[in-house]
Amino acid sequence: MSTYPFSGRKGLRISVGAGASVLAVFALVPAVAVFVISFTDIRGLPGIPIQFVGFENYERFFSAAKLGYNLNALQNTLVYAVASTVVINVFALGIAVLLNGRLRGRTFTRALVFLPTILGVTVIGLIWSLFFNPSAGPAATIWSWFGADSAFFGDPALALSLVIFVQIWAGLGVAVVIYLAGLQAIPEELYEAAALDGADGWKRLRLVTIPLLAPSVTANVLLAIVGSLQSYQLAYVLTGPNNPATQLLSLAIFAQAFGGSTTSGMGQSQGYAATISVIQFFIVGIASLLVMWYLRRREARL
Amino acid sequence: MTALDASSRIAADTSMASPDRRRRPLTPGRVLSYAALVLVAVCYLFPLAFLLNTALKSSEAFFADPGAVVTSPQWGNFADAWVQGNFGAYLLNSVLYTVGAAAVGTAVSLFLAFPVARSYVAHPRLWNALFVVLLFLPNALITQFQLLLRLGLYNTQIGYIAIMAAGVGIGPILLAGYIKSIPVELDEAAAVDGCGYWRYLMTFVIPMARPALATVFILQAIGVWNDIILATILLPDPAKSPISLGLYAFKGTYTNDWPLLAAATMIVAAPLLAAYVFLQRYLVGGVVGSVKG
Amino acid sequence: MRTHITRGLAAMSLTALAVAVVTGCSSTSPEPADGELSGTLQILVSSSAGSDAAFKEVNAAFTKKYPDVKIEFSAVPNENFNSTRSSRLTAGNVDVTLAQPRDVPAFAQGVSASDDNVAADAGLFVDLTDEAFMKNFTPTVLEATSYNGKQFTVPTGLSYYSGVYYNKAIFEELGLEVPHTWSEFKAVASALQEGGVTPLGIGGKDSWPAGLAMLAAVQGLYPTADDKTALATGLWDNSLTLTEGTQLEVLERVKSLYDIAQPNFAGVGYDAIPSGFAAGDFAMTIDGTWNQTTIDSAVGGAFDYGYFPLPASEDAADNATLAGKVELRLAAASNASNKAAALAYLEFFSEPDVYATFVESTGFAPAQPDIAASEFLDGIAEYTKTFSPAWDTIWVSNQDAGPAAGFPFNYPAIAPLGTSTVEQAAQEAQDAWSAAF
Repeated sequence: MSTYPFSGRKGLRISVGAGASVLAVFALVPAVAVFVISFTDIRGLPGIPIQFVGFENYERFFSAAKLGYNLNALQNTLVYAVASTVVINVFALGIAVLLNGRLRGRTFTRALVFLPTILGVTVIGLIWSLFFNPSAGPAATIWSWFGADSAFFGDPALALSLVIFVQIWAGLGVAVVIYLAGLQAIPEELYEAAALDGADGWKRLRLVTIPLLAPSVTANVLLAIVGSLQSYQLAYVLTGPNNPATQLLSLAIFAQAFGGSTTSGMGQSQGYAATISVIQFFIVGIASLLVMWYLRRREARL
Repeated sequence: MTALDASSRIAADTSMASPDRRRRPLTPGRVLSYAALVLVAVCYLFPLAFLLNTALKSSEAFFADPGAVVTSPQWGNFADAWVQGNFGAYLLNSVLYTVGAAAVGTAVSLFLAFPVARSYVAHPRLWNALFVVLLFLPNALITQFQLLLRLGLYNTQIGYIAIMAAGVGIGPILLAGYIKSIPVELDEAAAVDGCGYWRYLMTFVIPMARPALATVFILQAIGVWNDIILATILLPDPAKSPISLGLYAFKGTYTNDWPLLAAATMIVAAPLLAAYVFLQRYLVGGVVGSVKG
Repeated sequence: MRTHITRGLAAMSLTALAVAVVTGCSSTSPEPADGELSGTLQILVSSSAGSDAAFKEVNAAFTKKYPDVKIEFSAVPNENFNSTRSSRLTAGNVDVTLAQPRDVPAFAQGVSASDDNVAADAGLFVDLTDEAFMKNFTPTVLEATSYNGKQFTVPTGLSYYSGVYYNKAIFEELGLEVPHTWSEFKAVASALQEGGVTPLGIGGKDSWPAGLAMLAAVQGLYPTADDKTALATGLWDNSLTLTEGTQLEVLERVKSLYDIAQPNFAGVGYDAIPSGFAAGDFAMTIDGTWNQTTIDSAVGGAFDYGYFPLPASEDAADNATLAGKVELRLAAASNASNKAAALAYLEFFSEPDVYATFVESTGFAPAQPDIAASEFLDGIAEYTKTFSPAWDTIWVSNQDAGPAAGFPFNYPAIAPLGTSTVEQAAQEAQDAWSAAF
């Protein structure tokens, strides 16, 4: 806790106050409200009385009928989260180091790698759906060179791996940008000192670059985990909301909250949707906190 | 550019005296690096080239063989997509929302991250915890809608920008981490010289934190640019729609006019790509030199 | 000195504010427009290529008749439609939209009511029962869309979807005729395979097109509405299970259909089907009449195509009707800011000549009598003489049951869409269903 060196506090109070107010009113209040409505049977249509139903919504989520489905979703989600986080971070670090060096065409490549982020998840899903078209897409052509054919996203055994692949392809851009920013924050004198001590390229990478990138690693890993646990749009566009092979928790939330593909006639309460969001919040929160705690410990040790 | 020159010079080989880039020896390391670079570029170029290929086809040609290379490019698809999607008006809306929300959000992140990173506020650990919680807040679509409704900001651009600005995500964490690398001595030196908190923030911190600020800005801008569902709920007036909704309008339930959709996609992506290419300079122009102190 | 906010205080005030946000009355609706028809009319529908274009035509005609009314027409993708509609209704920001209040069938008493039913009960939709323009519609259709004996919606048309589009040219080439029983259908499929043609195209990737196969199977095996209601009642009181008898036959039919579908159909999207059909990749596809205009433009006159009900039963008489549903249903919001214009719009829409153009654009079957239907619809008139509601318009699932019992025939679990055999899929659904009791 360092002492405040500036003379007055007015600037500090106003800026913190303004920032905190914006966050509180527009982000925190609605978030807390979600918790509140998870205990109601609110419908989202005007004029309908709202009643507090206690933990009924939570019981429904954990009921025997739904639990198997939810556990399957959870399992898929963990595989998806771990695989995409690890691969993205390893590749992104490598690519960032590559792009940080003096190579011709690196600005172009940098823009390319970042392009999927700009295109957006919906578009990426569309591109890869096109690509993996089983009848005539480029992937089918490549598969046929090996004498195989596949239903790609329709194949229960292959679908999740393909979704993870697309997630990695799409998620590399942001990770690379963050690592690049982090790389540029490393003072050159550390490299010079390491060179003087006789360290070659690989050693410098291990002993200087990676330890000093620790904050970026934490940031990227967090982003990747939260992203893979929360975002459902990619899986939704690629495989639809009801495919058990690629059922992710976030997708299951979306499907259950909006009734999936069953007909109308099933009562859908926004209170139940809020319940599922709350449960997801806890899962994501616990996962993120665990990861952060682990990474912070490693950071401190380094 | 000095930081990059230095690090790559060191990384290349021991001869530190060669200023002429072109005569740099072609070590196996460099060959491998170039090979890797090309591989990465191809991995990203191919699907995008495929998108462009699709955008240039006519509907019939696409249905006949989706995978073939286009033989008679239909540049008119772009014009059609532009007109049908009414992208002109939507584009201005999107730019307004993106720049507005990202600017406000970045400012909020900075205002909060700086004092917390420096522990100028009480309970910095709690603030850090708050920053982390901000990352994975539950989907509050319905309650945010209710909030704007009661504040009288429903269906207003201000209200939408306010909600999007509050979605700072990883901003505070990223900035706090970066600010820690700016030495505290600088604060104290400036204070001794009579600089106030606010002036210090504006004239010193912002330039020094430029790479991180740019990153945070871009991350948030992309979130706002690509947002569809909040815009659908909070801005029902079609005149206020952002361009992402315009793109969505193409996705019919029973038919997808893929070539037109591909063309529209490229139209939507172009401005942000241009902005990124422009902003890249700020990322690249590192301020490592000034941090050396 | 530090900037100091007590955490507890902050948390409490946040919660209080949040609760205030949630409870508290809904917003006041703006003043209604005065005088003759003027002002803005806000229409919200779910988006689909055919209906969007048709609505825009109607809107243009309406604006010509009432030049002082400005129409704001929003067509929102299906995924977002529910949340968009509920938020706009809450804000009083929509005048005409879609709604589906539906009488809860006797067997499903105690199931929590759908949003639209609750809304209709609360008076959110204008009661149209006594409006003159409702008389323009076919009485049987109005019966199907009534709720609690009242009319809240204007039916925009009907669609049929237990049938099979077939490529007449290929059939002629191989000397095949339209099958009327299941055995005949299987024979046709074999003949096609021997002739080197894939018999059936299914857009398995989107899952629900395979559901059309299931619905067609149910239609043949339980032809009348009474049969279906009996099935539903039996399932609800557990006198029937999904793993025996005709119920299991449904899944067996589905499996047979999967077996004659194109390779890797599980990865083919629904949108690719019209072009595949037009290219001759497969000779038949199970699809709805809503898609006829798309298939027509894809085929582009290259060959003749027809439509026949999938003969899931061995008895030809059971296979003589197509299953149908009422398509989009328009409702007027009671808290609309421009109720007068909303009702005028519905009235305008129901005028026979306006309605006729709408139906022609969308390819829906007309919900009004004496409307000239398209040539295609005339061609299948023999199958649509009596309106037979499709299984998914009768079935109501129990929300406490597991997801496998949603339809309740578990077609997505059967290989190659899933990984189960017919028996396993049926058992899975039955277990999920029983979990609710």
